[in-house]
Amino acid sequence: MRAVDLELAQRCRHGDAEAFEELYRAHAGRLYNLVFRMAGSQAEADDLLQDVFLHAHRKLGSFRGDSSLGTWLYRLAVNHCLDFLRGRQAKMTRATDSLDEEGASEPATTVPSVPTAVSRIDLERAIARLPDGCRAAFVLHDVEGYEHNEVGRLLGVSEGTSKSQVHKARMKLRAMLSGIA
Amino acid sequence: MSCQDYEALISDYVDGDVDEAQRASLESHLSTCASCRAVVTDFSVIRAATLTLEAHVPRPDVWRRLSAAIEAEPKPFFGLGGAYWWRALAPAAAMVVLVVALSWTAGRLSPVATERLARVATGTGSEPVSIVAEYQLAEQNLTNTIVGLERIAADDRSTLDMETADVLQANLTVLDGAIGESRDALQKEPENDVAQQSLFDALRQKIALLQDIIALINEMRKGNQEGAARIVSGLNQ
Repeated sequence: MRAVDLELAQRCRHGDAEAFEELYRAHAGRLYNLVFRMAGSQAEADDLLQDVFLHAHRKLGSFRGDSSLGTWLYRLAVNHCLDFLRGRQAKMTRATDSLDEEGASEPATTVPSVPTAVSRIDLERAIARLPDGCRAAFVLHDVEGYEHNEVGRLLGVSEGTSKSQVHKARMKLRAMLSGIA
Repeated sequence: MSCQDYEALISDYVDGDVDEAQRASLESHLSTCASCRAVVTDFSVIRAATLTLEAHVPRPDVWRRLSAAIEAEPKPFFGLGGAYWWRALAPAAAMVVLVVALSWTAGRLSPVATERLARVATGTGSEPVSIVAEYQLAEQNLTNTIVGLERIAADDRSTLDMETADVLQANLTVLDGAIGESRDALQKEPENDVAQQSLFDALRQKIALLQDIIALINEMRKGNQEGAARIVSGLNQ
């Protein structure tokens, strides 16, 4: 726990606008990358980031310093993204996969190889096209660097489900980057 | 084992998350299976490419919109998880709710508050009715919060050592004095904004102090000297 976090949170709670801007400047970048890749588009990421910080502003009273302010905000952002994805999923008419189900992967045998030099743009586009459920696990594990047990905790699924979703995401990315999907 | 059986292992293998037996078994299979070998290669390429992804930066207008949204938010009076007492008062329904609230709360307030509310309700004050009445309700909510916190703090205050308890009590007494002075000033001049804000400030400070006292008691009960010292340090500031 960091005393500086507690002090910053306290200043924000007392309506110190400069303190809240300090909080935003310190954490917006990391959270934006998360929400951008979880949501899959810039427009939705902008709205999500705003919502996350607005929610944080309202909830700072519940921050007790049990974890760092960054971790607290990150969890808040993940939960917000999951709510958003679930809401979007509920609205969608075409079926994707749920956030915790173990769906089928692309067949391994029918896919030509991924080019050895994958461009960042192609990879970003392919990540954005992943189904919401496996994209969330993939982003947290492969992009954000969390272990499967941590991903499971963040997403509210088992470690095994996190593994299978990441594997599924990789198989889909493989298919997309090979040009067959 | 078939390719399908090995496929589940490939992600773990690429992540370096297999034991020796699994590694040996999979590598033996890979030496004879071009299809699974291709999956391993592709996963490794994807893993490596993921590490090169660039950071996205939020556009400046995100902060502008956010700060405007926060500016439009009601200001917290409680500091306890963001309880905004007037959030339920949508503008169109505010007056209806207010009339109900006035009649409901009139019997529960102190004599001074009741007198002021009655004056507000009959429109004899010079301030707009809604503003003055909101002050009254806000004050009552702050006071209720204080009463609840005082009850919690009083139950366990014996956990604190005498010296700390005396210092905290002295601080509470100072704040009670400030609250009393502000209320006296408001009784004489009900529309005095400075006195009103001073009263709110003192009430909020008392809530913050009571919250810190309760947190300190909790840390002392848990035997967390470090946590207790941090709270005391905050109090000293």
